[in-house]
Amino acid sequence: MNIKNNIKHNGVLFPRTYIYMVLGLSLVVLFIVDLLTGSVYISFGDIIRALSGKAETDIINILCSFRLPRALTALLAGMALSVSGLQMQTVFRNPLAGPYVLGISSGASLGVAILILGLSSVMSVHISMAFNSWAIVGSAWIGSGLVLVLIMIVSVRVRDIMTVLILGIMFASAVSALVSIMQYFSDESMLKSFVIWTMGSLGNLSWQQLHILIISIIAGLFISMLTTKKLNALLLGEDHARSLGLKIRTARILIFISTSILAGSVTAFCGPLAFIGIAVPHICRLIFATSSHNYLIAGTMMLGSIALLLSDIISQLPGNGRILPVNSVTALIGIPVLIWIIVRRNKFVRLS
Amino acid sequence: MKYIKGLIYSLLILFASCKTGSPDRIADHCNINEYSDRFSIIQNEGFSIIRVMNPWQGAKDKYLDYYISDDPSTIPPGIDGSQIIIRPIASIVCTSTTHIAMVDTLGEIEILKGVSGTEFVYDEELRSRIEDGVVYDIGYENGYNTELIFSIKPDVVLVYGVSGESVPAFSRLSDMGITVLYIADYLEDHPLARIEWIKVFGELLGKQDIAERIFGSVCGEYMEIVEKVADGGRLKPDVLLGLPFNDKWFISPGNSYIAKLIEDAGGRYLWAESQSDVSIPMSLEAVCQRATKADIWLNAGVAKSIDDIRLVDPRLGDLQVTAEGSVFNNNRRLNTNGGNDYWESGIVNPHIILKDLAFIFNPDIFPGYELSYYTELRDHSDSSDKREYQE
Repeated sequence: MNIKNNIKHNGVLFPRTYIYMVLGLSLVVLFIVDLLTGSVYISFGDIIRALSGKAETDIINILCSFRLPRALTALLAGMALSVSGLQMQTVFRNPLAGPYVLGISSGASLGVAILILGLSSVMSVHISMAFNSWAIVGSAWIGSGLVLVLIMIVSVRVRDIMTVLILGIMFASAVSALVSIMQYFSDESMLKSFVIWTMGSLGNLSWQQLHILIISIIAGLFISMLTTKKLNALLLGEDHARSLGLKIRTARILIFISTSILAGSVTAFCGPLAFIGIAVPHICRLIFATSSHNYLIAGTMMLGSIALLLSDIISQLPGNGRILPVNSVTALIGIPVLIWIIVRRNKFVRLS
Repeated sequence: MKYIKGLIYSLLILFASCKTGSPDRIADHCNINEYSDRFSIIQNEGFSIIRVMNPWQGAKDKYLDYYISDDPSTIPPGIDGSQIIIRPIASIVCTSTTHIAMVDTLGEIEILKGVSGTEFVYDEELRSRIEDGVVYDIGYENGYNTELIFSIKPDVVLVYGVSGESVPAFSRLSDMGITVLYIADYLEDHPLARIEWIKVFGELLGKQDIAERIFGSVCGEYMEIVEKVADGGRLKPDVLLGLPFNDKWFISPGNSYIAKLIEDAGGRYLWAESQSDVSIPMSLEAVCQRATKADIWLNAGVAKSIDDIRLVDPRLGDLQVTAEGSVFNNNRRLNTNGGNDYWESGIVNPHIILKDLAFIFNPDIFPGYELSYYTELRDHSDSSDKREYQE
């Protein structure tokens, strides 16, 4: 099976099973390393002892309430963003597309901006509402949901996918403009809180919130698994796909729903994590030397988690409890990797 | 003879240290500040110079001179109009709530014609003037309404420089000949250095003596509390400060103004050893780890109750200090829009803030004292749980 694949897709370096194994192993290693990194020293032995419940309560406390939620969030968010990025690149047949091309992050930003910058200055009686973590999640979700509804309406009416893309970008720009106006008129402390939100973070989820994130991401990933064949057909272009008997509108809507659930939930809980959804699918196509979603969906899931876990580990590196914004770290480590791969291979693997 | 020579030299050195921008003028008298090293007032024949040193965050070896006098003819020629202030001043526009408190303390509140963020003003008299429409809102840091400021034609605009000269609105105002006076009170590390800026306001408003007197009495009361704490403070609680946003906690460094207050009030700030000009971003994990030994939690952001803190992040509720209910916030005095008097009149009342803290740390030093700026956060969840249970 693997050998056959290698012949068919010339240029692949190793049999794909090996690639999956290496990715899987890195994922496990990075997950454990992520559990070990932080301001308090925890050894591998401590984790083993914690599993059997024999570690000190302090260590168990840190592992359970800080490290484990953070590592799980990185794992899930990495998967979700990369898969939704892959879907968007395929649907729009555009290498620059990403999970936020539909305006999901702009919508979420608008929701959070209204909460933090808008409501808190107008209805300051509930000023503490602005910092309530559930309220932030809720408003981000409502914001991205509204954008999704708009996109749905457009994509049902408009046949040409490029028009949908352009309208999506227009919506996003309009929404960003509104957010800018609110930023312009808000006072510093609120502005700072909002800016921190836009930088993204993986470590602010409580277990309750993590449960919701897990359920949404499983649901989103389940839908994307269902769309594998549709995505493969769409690689040929919508007209070809239609001639193969694909119901374009159903396909589009399914893919949009899955993208919105995935990217929308991650954005609601972690803020906009921008770069990963664009870069990971490209890196994945290069590693697997294919554009078939049969391999790519699982591949981007693993690679996305790896990338975000690695970013999270690096963001903790300054030490002394100081941390870097994870969003910037992702971009800073992702860009050189991507450039290196492109320069080495001298080209992108084409989307189709 | 030798002795006299030595005296003359030392006097010359003293004068040299107070010299103005141009070397040909020798200062008559340089007032020595007790706490602040960010401004000096240099008395000259007929006029005085307010020199503001390093007026914004990150400024190095930078100073701004302002020439102030009752009589324009005494101002040396060649000084730019935007550096000259002629008393009496008829109108002031200010950008910080601390400026309001300073002007109000000197009894000149009606001189304020424009303020930044009118809805957050706490002072009742100024509030009623805002409602009457005689005081305008000039906008915030990133959106000052320069046209409005210009139309008010203030004698001086009091500004604070977070980002320094880069605020284009200020340079435009200077270009239009409006005096933009930097007040760097918020950059001071010592609470008494902040109130010392009242001397600048005294100079502006021609009430130097009153300003000196107020400063003296505040310092006196402050020191009295410090001594009382040193004598009678049995407890030395570990103090946690602030509130995180997401998983980031911006920690005030150990050389900050609030850290100094905690130290003087007899507390032990958990980050007393840290040194920085700005607050330090730390991970929630690191802060919670150190906060496990906190006895008192102060300045918990916008939280009005312990339930609010749990909503920000449930892990904060697990801290012992929260569970014990030892959380005090500086938001006792809020107006209906959330404007906090702590950031307004608090600047002229460091002794009252200090007394609040000293009372929180060691209640038995001041029996029967009632908190002025601080309030103890309550935990509603216990009672509400019980109510549900009964139903």
